[in-house]
Amino acid sequence: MNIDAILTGVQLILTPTSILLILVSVLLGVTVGALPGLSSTMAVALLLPFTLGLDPVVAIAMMAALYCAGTFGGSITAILINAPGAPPAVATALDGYPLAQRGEAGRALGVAAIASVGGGILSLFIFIAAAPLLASVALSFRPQEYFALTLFGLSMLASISGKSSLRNLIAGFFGVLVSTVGIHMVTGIERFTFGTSVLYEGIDFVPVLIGIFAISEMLKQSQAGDEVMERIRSVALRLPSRDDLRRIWATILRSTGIGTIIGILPAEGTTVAAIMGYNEAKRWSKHPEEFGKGSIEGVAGPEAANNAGTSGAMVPTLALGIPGSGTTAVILAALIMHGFRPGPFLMRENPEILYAIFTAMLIANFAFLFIGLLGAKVFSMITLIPRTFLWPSVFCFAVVGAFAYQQQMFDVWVMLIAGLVGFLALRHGFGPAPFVMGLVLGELIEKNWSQSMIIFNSDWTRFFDSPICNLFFVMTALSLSSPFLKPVIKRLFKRRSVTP
Amino acid sequence: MRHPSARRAGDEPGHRPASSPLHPVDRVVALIVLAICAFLIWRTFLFAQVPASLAQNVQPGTFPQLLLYLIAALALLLPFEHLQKRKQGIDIDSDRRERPGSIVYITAVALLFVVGVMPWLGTYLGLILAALALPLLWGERRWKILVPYALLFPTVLFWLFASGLQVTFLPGIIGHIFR
Repeated sequence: MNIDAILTGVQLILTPTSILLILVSVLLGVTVGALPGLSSTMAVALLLPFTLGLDPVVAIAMMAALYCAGTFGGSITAILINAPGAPPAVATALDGYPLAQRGEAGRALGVAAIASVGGGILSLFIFIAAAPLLASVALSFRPQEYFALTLFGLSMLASISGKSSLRNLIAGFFGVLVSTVGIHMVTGIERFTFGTSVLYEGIDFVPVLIGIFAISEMLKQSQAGDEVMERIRSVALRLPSRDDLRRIWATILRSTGIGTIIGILPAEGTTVAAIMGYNEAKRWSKHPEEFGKGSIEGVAGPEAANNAGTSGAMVPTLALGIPGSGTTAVILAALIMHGFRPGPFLMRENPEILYAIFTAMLIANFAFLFIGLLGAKVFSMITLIPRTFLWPSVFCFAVVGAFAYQQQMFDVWVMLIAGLVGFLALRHGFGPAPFVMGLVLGELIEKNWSQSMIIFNSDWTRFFDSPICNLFFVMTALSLSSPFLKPVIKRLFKRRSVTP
Repeated sequence: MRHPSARRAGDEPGHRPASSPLHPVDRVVALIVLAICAFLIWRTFLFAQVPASLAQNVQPGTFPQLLLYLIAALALLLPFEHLQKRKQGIDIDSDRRERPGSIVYITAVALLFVVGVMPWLGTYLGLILAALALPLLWGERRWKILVPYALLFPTVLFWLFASGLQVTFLPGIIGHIFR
């Protein structure tokens, strides 16, 4: 273990300024998480330009803290007003809101907070152990293996959010295509610049990220009415009793394991983790009949799983340079923007960042326990902000953020066009997350493909000489065919269970 | 379990003829994707070629071409995807069945207008315009909240970036006041 790196990482975070910035990020994260429509991915994208002048490690730590807190924030409104602020909190609402309706809102919030913190902290220890291990394995990878790994990461796009694997893949490949705009790094030839000098350096992540997450959502929200939700008035904070804890500790442990593993899988997300956490909590519960009517295990399961998923998703992002979710794709873009080289080399060149992120996420977990619980009532009031003020504010942030990055109007146009195209694409099922993942991974995949072709003297069959490549290719094939295989396997199992 | 909102082909009047395996909307989407691919593939053939020794086996157009062929191949499957999704009880039309309301188009035009006039107005006035016009477009009429919001929010944001992060914004027509 690199003691120097640990000390440097912890020291970077344990300064008054860094702690203050992390607390601000937590506050922002819980707020954004609590607001339906605003996602932590969007918030991280909007935060990016703000971090330009900061120490890069602190900047990344802030984003990690926001990611953690945003995941928890969704549960507050899910419990109090049955309006999950973030998709992972949908499962929390199933039992959290019935608990609140019968006057146990404080207890539900307490269970959610304890389960979130429990899941978050336990998975952080898995993260700190797994990331360097994974990175040390990946260090032996040559360009061809890295290409195969990145291809696997891209193939996982098929299973990311949304209803259509096909559309996810098309959106992802379009993302990769956009990353080829500009001067070709090997030959110095212009590609898709259409003679415009501003495109020589390519299309930057930041305005695209802001546009695709913020502007397309804004257009979607423009036709939504102001929903009046039933509010639970009395929110007396009540931490779980000893009996409650005895009942949920196994659920928290189980969901932490599920959430961490789901989070580590590239392109799976905290929403999947939360749903699986809920299902498993119900399956293992001694009182499955209480689920849906106000079971505390039904709150603890998804909350522990989705918060564990955030640390899990950071593992492939930092160790392999392959994002584990939409938000980590934005964090990956931020790492690149701040001059880091994500992947195994990050652990070798900047090992302190791993420990800094660990410390920041640890602080974030404790912070949202207090901020979230003590301020639950305030955060539930956030939903009262009319959308007629909320979304124009998001637009102002988006314009300023896109402009500030390189101080050119061109980026504001890129942001706006990305938003408009993103809105139309989203209507037809092409999600923003696969596009962003393709955009972020695009340069990496082309670089490794080019280097491999140079090494192989253009003989692509030599990819199959490497057992690691073959393993990743098989995994890629399985991942691509999984949407088609799943129904077949399900049908086979059904038939077998019916046959006497 | 079948999705409650899942519909069979041909359920929607004038939406999808029951006899055709092609989804009418996805057919158009696929055609648009194919047209974009065809145009971009044509562009890749216009990329300058470099000598083999300099290109090191990788011409600048090869990778984008591979990607575009892949996207085109996937796009060909799009009009048939609904057949598989229907079997799984997934309604791929649920998000697009309702046409976007006119407010979506008006908002989009307003955003384009605000960004378009920003070089002339300057970033500060542009932001104030956005903070005033967008709520009005969306039906906000509480002037006592709207006016202070439209003045204060952009000012704070502008000040934060201009002073805190040393960003030089577009001065526009009132730029001389700040100089």
